[in-house]
Amino acid sequence: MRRILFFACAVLFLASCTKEVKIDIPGYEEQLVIDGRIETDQPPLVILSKTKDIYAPTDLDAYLNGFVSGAVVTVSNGDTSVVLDEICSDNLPPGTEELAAALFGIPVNELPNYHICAYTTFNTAIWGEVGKTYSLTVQFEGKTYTSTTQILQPTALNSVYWQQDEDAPTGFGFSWAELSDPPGQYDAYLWEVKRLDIGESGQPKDNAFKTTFAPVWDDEFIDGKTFDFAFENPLNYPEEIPDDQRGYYGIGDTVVIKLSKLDSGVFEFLEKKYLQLQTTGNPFASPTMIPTNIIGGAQGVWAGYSPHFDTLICQ
Amino acid sequence: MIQFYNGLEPRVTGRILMKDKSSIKFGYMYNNQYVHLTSLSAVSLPTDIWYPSTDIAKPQKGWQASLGYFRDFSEGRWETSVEVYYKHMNNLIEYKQGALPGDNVSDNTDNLLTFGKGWSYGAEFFIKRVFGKLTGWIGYTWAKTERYFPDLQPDVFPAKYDRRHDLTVVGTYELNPHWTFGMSFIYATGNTLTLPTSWYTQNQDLLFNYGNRNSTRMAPYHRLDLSATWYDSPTKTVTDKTTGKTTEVKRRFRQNVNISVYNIYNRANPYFLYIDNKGSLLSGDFKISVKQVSLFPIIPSVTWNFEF
Repeated sequence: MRRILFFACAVLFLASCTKEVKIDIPGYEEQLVIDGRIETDQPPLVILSKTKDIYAPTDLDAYLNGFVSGAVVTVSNGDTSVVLDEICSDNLPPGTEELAAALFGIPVNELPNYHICAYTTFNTAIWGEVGKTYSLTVQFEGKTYTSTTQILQPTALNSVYWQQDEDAPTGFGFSWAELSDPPGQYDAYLWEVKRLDIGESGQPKDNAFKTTFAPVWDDEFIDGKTFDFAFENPLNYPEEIPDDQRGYYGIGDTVVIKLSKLDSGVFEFLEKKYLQLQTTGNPFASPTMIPTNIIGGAQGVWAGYSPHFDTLICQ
Repeated sequence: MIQFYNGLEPRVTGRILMKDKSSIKFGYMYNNQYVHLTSLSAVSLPTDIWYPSTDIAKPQKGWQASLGYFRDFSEGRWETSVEVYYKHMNNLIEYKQGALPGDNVSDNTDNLLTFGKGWSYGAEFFIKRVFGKLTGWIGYTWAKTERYFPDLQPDVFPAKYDRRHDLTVVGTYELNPHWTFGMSFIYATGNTLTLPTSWYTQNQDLLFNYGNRNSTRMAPYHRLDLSATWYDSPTKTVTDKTTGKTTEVKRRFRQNVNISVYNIYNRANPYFLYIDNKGSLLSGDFKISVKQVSLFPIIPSVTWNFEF
């Protein structure tokens, strides 16, 4: 296979030319995008935007102005139903600026320049609880969109450990863990990490959890089994570190591991999402359609996360 | 051995000769195919893998029926025909969503595949001139090829090689015994592929929303090739030194020179398309574009042939 691919690439490089084209891509339909989440002991958080035509402007203003406001967003857990508050970047409650900046991915001082809204609540009666099912209703521009998600019983890792990798320089390796998958039930997992290491600024290097290239899996083939597995370090790829150290944890790194349980709808969305992130633009891969657990014609996901946290000290 | 398959392949062909130098031909055949061509949506590279039948990938089974009317005009100077056909295929295979053909190191390739059926039908028109200095033929095919793979999408979708129009014009003009000129022109509807129709963000990740399978069509493929060939004389004059008499004798050593130009108007025909996204949404330099890769621009060539 490698020879074939090499041959194919050689032919392309030797004899091909590449140019930008604007061909007709039928089927575009503007849709609402719902990016909603609820996590154990956390408030529900919903961000709304719209899909954009493949040829639409892609500058920062177009992106940031693509978020929408004016929706009525309701979350219910069967006992309590709460209409979420619309909180916008140009009118944030004091003390939430840092959180909002991280959420929208823009500097704090840029927040007042945009009208980006998120929907959440300070009513703890609707914050995430293990074992509950949360339904979401979004009313926007005369249409109603619904979805449900669950916060499942978390599954703890049996152990986490660091191990020298034989292909890595001395002192570098992967993060390893042992997991016992509960037998006889559907289980799906999301693996996220965050460093506690202190950076040059005196603050922890990471203020948000980050995922690896393929961070979700379900128990289709591992139901009820106990096994060890490894994940690479996704945190040091953008950094200026030597190539042979990328993807590894070094001795001395301290990492928080967040293993979240997912329901099947959330898993299917995330599985296809990360598959698409890996394959988009690759002419050797077939396209990946991302399903949604939103009913009513919107894209996106309403995701319940049930995390278990571990701290890995690489030594 | 993983699995053993066999099957009968009955076929019937016939021809009915008519009085007016025309004929009707018909045929029916049933075939089993024990290897499968698995194609990615976007490209026609060696990643189109011929894949053997297994216990999971059943042999392809198909039947085809055709009916044609053939007629010569002007005492055989013109040959014409019209044919229609229908073909039905079962146990076709396609890659699943997101499949990478090389991704079978730790997995069975069967698990990258999904199965369905397809059908193809069309009409072919053909006319050929076989007299005079100008000879050649024109062929035109109208065809439709569709696939149904319920695991990929609930609707029928066009096959990758669904080619609605296919026109070929070939001509040769013999100016004199030394010079012959040739041309061929090809026009074909572009292949289909699946491209995203829109994009959105989720948790600051850029995601694409794809349209229906193979719903986008590449630009048409067309090109014109021209050639000119010079032939030496088939005979040469030989003078008898004693009698001074000249005679024409056949050359034992022949040569011709062919000058040809492939794709003379340098058409950048699409080979495959892909989505290119560069930059970062939050840094302001983000850009999505559709890129087309083309092969084989204008290619002149000279060929010197010898016969002996």
